[in-house]
Amino acid sequence: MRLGKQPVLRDLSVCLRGRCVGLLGPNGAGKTTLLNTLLGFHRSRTGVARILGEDVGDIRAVRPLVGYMPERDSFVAGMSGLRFVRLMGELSGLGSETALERAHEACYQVGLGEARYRPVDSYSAGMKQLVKLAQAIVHRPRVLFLDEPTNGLDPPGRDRMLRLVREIRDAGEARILFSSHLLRDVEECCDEALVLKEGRAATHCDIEHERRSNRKFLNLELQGDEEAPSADAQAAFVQGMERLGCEVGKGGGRRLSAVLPDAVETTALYELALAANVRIGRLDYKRDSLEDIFQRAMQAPVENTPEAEITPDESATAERAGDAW
Amino acid sequence: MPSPGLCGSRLFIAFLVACCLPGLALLVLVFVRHNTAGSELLEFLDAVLSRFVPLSTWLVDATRAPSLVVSFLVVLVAGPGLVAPDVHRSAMPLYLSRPLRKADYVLGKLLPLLTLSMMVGWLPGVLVFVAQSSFLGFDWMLQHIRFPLALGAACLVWTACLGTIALAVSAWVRWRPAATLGFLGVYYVSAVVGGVFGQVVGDAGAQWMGSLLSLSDAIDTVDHWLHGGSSILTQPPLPVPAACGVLAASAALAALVLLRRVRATDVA
Repeated sequence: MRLGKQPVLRDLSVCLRGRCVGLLGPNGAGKTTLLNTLLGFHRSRTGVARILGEDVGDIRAVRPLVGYMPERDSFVAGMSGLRFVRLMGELSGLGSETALERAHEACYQVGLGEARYRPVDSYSAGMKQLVKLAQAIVHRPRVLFLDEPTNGLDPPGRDRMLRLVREIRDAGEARILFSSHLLRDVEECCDEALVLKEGRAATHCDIEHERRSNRKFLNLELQGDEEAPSADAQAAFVQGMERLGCEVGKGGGRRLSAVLPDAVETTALYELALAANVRIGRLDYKRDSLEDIFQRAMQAPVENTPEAEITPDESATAERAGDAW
Repeated sequence: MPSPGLCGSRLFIAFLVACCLPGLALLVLVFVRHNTAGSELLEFLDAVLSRFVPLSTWLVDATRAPSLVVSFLVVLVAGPGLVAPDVHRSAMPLYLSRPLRKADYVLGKLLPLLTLSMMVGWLPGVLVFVAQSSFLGFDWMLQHIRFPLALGAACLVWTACLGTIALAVSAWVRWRPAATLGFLGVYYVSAVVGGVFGQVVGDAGAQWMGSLLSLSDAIDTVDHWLHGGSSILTQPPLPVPAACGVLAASAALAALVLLRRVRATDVA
């Protein structure tokens, strides 16, 4: 996928299955371009993108299935919230009466209440985000694209928006693609994450599975008998850990970080330390967080992250099984 | 596609009513002309009318020109406000994430203009024609059946051409007052440039070339052709194919500009 002469998305092959998929990545990673491509705003020169089995180029087939909440303030001028949402429903193919009924429902669902009769121009930033969400769900789409939905919201507004997203997710009516640069937002709402880096999929993972995976993250601080351990002793300890199947990273000086296989208990490290004549002065145990997943994805070269890609065959299998979008 | 807010303003409704006044005046004139036979008023009316148009075709001439002027005014007043607010408020991603193509959006915006233009430009003319027919009989109506059809076609062509230009300027400028001025600028500057070119160069060929830049000359030629006559205003007269070409090329160019500006993202 190119914008002008600049390639933005490259070798991207993923199949999304989650109820709510977080789309993460640093600025310029291609998140918005991916959303725009899936919405059919950009045409890719090569490759295919499908939503629920329909080619995204077939807008008459795809777009009634899709709801989109853009990042920027986007409104039709001079309308009340209700009329705006109704218009968007009508444009999505609903009849006039049905659109009005659904507009009331959507405005009520997002909590606009009586404010739905007020002009959108008079709304606060939080209310504008809510009415944008209402217009995205008014036609009951099966896939919902949310682009930075918590942008510009104060903490209560943000909590309300995330609660709404979780409610939509849990109701199971729509699969959600949630683009954000806020890891906490994604962590609170999403069960799957796609991390983009330089237009490629750096990581694509099931967040819950990743959290429960057989990895234990440890931060260690080593000590010698009286002062710092010798370099030889430290090297022997690291080699011993690697023999146990640990992934070890040196944090500088006496500090080490390590990922333990599930079969290895921390007591084995103490035994190893005793044998190598070093002491473990401090050991912090923590579970994998989305931030860790993200950081790992950012640090690792994209080509070397096997979990980043799902082969076309696997995608096809998932689609046939009816699990994929 | 509905065009929100277009008819929501009382001022705009008043404008539409005002646009119907020439038609209403003509209806009254038809009524008076056919109900004051032999009176001094009829002689006076005929004397006044005959100064401007041949009496045999006064109805056609008196209906045709206001119809085109009204169409122009409808486009001038309503056109620039149709796309500019959508571009200004970033509404394009909302429209284009629905099952709509760019062309659907443009047609959706053009449709209210065409509807309004036909309502206030063509319909009054048809009513005048029907009124005249009711006084002069079925044979007269059959003899002049070309008139309402030509009036409608001219109105449609003129509004489509001007409307596309107004929408293009509106999409480009993004601010309604500036878009209105821009539209007037495109309309008049091209005519003035064409006129000056023709006058400076002097010969008939150059004047003919100059007329190619004038939309009003082109529609005048097409309008007369549709009504089965030839323009006396555009001198030297433009060939009809050239006039049609001017209108088609202007609309096509405007549509091209419009489609480039109507997009869901800032990056193409």
